[in-house]
Amino acid sequence: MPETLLEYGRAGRALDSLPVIDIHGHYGAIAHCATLSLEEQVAMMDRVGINVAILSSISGLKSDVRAGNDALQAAISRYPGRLYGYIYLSANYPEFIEGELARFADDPAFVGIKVYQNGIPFTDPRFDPAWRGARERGLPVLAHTWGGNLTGFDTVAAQYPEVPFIAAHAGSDFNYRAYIDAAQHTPNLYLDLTYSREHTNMIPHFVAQLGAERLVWGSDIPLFSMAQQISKVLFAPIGEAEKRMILGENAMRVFGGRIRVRS
Amino acid sequence: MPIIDAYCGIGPWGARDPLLPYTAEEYLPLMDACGVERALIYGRAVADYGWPPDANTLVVEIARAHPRFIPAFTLFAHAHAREHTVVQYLDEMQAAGARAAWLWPVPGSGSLLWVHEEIYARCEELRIPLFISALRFGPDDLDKICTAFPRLRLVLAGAHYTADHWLYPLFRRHAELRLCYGHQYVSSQALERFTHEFDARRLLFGSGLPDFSPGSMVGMAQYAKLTDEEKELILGGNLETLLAEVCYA
Repeated sequence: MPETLLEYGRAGRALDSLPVIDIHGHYGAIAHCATLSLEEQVAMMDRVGINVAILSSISGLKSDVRAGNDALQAAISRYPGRLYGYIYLSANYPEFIEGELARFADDPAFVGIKVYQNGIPFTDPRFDPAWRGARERGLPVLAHTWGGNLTGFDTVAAQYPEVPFIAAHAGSDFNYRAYIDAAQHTPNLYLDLTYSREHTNMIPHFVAQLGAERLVWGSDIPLFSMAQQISKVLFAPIGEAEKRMILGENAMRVFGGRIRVRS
Repeated sequence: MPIIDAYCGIGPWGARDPLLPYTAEEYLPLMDACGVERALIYGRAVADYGWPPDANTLVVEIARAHPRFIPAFTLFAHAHAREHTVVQYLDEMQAAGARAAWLWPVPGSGSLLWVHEEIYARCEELRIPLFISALRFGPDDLDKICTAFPRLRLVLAGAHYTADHWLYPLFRRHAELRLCYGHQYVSSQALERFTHEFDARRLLFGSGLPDFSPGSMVGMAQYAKLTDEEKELILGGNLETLLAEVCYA
C-alpha cells in the first residue's frame, strides 16, 4: 500500500487519501488532438484518483461563446459533483458577457469564469464587465496566459483584490520568472501549473519563491494526459503537505464553498 | 522491472538555466526518486553546437565512473577532412562499448539526406539505434530517411502532443521507426492509443533530462491502461533489446 504521494505515482495507483481537484480541464473536441468522450474523461479521473474537474468549453473558445457554455452545462449536468464548469466570457464578443453571467452564475455547477486573451489584452475595457461580474458574484477567474506574458492579467488582479485570479500555464516556455514576479506583487494571483512540459526543478522553485499555497493544479484534459500532468506534482521534490495543497486544498479554498468533494 | 531513461542529456552547456542539473551527482538522486535505474546519456552541449568528440569523451568518463549511465555517442557529418570521419566516430564508439547514437545536425540540415547518408547507412548496417530530435527533423525529413534506409532503427524523441496528424501516417509507413515519448508527447491516452495502433515494442520511455524531469513521463506510463508486460517494454525493455541487437562484427 503506497504511503507517500510519490509512491502512488510510482505504482500508478489511484489517489485515495486526499481531495484532488483539477482546476483546468475542457469539454469538447479540438482539431489537433484526439477526441475524448466525457465518459472517457471521467473514467480517467477515476483511474488517477481525481475527485473533481472544473471544465470550460472548447467550442465556446474556438467558435460560439453562448452555444459553448450551453453545451458545457448539459455535459456537466451528467456528472453532478464530479464535474463543474467555468463560464467562458470573451472580449471578442463583449455584447454577451453580462448575459452569460446572468445565465449561468446562479447555476451551482458553474464555479468560476474562464477568459482567454485572443488578441485582446486583459486590461482592455471590453473585459471590465467580466471582472465586475467576478467580484459581484464571488467567482474566481482562470485566464490563459503563455510564456511569461500575462497580457495584463496581474494588473487587473491588483484592481480586484477580493477576487482570486488564476494565471494558467505558469512557467510555460520556461519563463517562470515573470510568473513569480507577478505573483509576488499580487497577493490574489494564483499560478496554475497546467502545462505540457515538466521543466526540471521548476515546481520546487515556485514553491520556494511563493509558497505552495499560491499554486493550483490542472490537466488541460482532453489535450493532455491527466496521469502525466498529475505526476508532475506527485514526483516533484517537494514536501507531502505542499503536494496536498497544490493538488486540492488550495483549490478548495480558492473556490470557497462552491466545490464539494465526496469521499 | 528496470526503468531506463532513453533520452537523457548530461554535462554542462553554455546557455544553461541555473535551475537545471548537469552533473551525474545531481542526476542520481533524481533518478532514484523517480524509480529510474539507468539512463542512456549523450552530451547535452551538442544540442547547442557543442563539439561532439568532447561530448563523447564526457559520457564515456561518466559511464565509467557511474555504471548506472550508459554512453550514447553523438555522430556528426563534418565537412572538412581534418575533422572526425564517420568511421572514426564509430570505431571510437565501439572501443568505448557504446551501442546507441544521437544525431544533432546543424539546424536546418536535417533535411539534407545526402549530407548524413553515411551515418544512416552505417547505423543501419550495424543495427545501431539512432536517436534524433523532432526539434531538428521535420516529418518529411523522417519520411525520406526511413524510405532510403528502411532497416535503420531510428528513434524519434521530442515529438509534440499535437504531432499525430503526421506521426501516425509516418509510423504506418515505416516499421523500424520508434517513438521515445519524452518530453512532450503527452496527449490524453497517447501511450494506450499508440500501443494499440503500433505495438508497445515501438515505444520508449525517455525524459528529456536535463531540461525536463523524468517524473511525469514515468507516471504517464504507470497510470496508463496497459498490461504490465507492455509497461515493462516501454519503460526499459525495448531499449535493452535495441542495445543488445547492435552488431559491430
